Amino acid sequence: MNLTASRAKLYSSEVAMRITTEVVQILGGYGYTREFPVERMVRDAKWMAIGGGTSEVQRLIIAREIMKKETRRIF
Amino acid sequence: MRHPMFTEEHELFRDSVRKFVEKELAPHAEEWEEAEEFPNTVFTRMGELGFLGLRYPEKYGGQNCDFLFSIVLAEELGRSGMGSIGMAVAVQSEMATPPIHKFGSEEQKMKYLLPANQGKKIACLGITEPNAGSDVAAIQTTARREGDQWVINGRKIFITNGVRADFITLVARTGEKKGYKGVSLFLVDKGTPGFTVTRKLDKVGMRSSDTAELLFEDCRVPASAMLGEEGRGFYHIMWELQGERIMGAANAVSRGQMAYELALKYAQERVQFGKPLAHFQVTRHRLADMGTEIEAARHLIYYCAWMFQNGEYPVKEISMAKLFAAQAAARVADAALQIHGGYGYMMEYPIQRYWRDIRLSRIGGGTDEIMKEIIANEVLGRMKE
Repeated sequence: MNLTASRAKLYSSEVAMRITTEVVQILGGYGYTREFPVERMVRDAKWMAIGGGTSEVQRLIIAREIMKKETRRIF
Repeated sequence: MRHPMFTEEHELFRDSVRKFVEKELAPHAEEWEEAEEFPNTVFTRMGELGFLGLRYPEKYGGQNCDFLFSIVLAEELGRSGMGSIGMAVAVQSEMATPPIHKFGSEEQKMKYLLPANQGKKIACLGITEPNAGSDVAAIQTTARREGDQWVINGRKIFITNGVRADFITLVARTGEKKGYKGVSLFLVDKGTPGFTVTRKLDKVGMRSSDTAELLFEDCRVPASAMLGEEGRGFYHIMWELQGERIMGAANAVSRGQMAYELALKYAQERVQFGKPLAHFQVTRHRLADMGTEIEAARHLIYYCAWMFQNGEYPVKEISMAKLFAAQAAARVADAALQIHGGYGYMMEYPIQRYWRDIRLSRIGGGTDEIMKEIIANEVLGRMKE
């Protein structure tokens, strides 16, 4: 469960950052003003990769779990 | 591979395919890749085991199974160490034969579908031409009616199973000179005069799969060789591509998983600077990212499979899943090769084969670019020229 939760948290928070950044880009100059809600979405997304365990910590957890569980004999 | 939609029957099937792959396919990967051919006995053996034509009725040599069994098969074949096997079986069971089942006469089903599912006749699908790949509507192979025969002229390229196939499900123009209309399907036997294999193509990967260039020069077939309705060829063929895309994606993700597992193993064995690579954070984090991407790709595919199983036809999600799976598998395979360092670049280590085989995923079964077009069209509607 640790593994799946960490993967889900890591992945979704980094996707959110990538997508919201792209959204501001698509809205161009307007995207950069506070009149439009998208720049807030980027600022909010940035927190997602830090709070609740940073992406780096998630990678630590995942790495530890996969070394334990996921190594199988490969023919 | 865990998901609530898989039942115990699916899991038992997965076990039996896995055993078959581990015992009868994987140990031969190096040998068959070197020979640039896996033997025809792979088809006959899989036919014996009932792994071909899973979803067809028993009357036609099938197992009456649901779509998820095909997904399980695609995933498990990806563990054979050869992308070739999954690709060849997909053409045999999920591309060349579905139109026969859906639109063929009883005679055609007995002559082609039944032996294909038994592994006794090998099938291939003839759509792509030297000048018509993504631009499928531009195909130029023609079939001209002469009395009670059709005369076929044209070339096909990138035809998987094309060299060894016993018959081809062929797409040829019978009507209008351009576009999606005026195209029909034919079932043509190998050995028909005027139908030749001009080349076995020399590919970067999938080397144990035979890929052919075919030539039709005044190839005469009887009127009974037409499959389905005249002029409806495209529609007869295109609907099946969606199911096949999900399976191709599942196979690609499975092979990406294998590449990842190879890297995981190597990282724990290889020692540099006094420590295994798995000790160093760069490698740990890279492996963490690789496993995460594979898992994400897998579940997008499972979502599509679940919808498809429920009778939905989610073209947008399927295109997304195929696009994402191919790109994720390619990234993972490249990272896995990188983890292997210099040995990753050697033919004697298996990781290079996974890397070469996976590279096709972003092209075959619909390129990344076409997937993006489909997704954009679904979301935004088609743009007028």
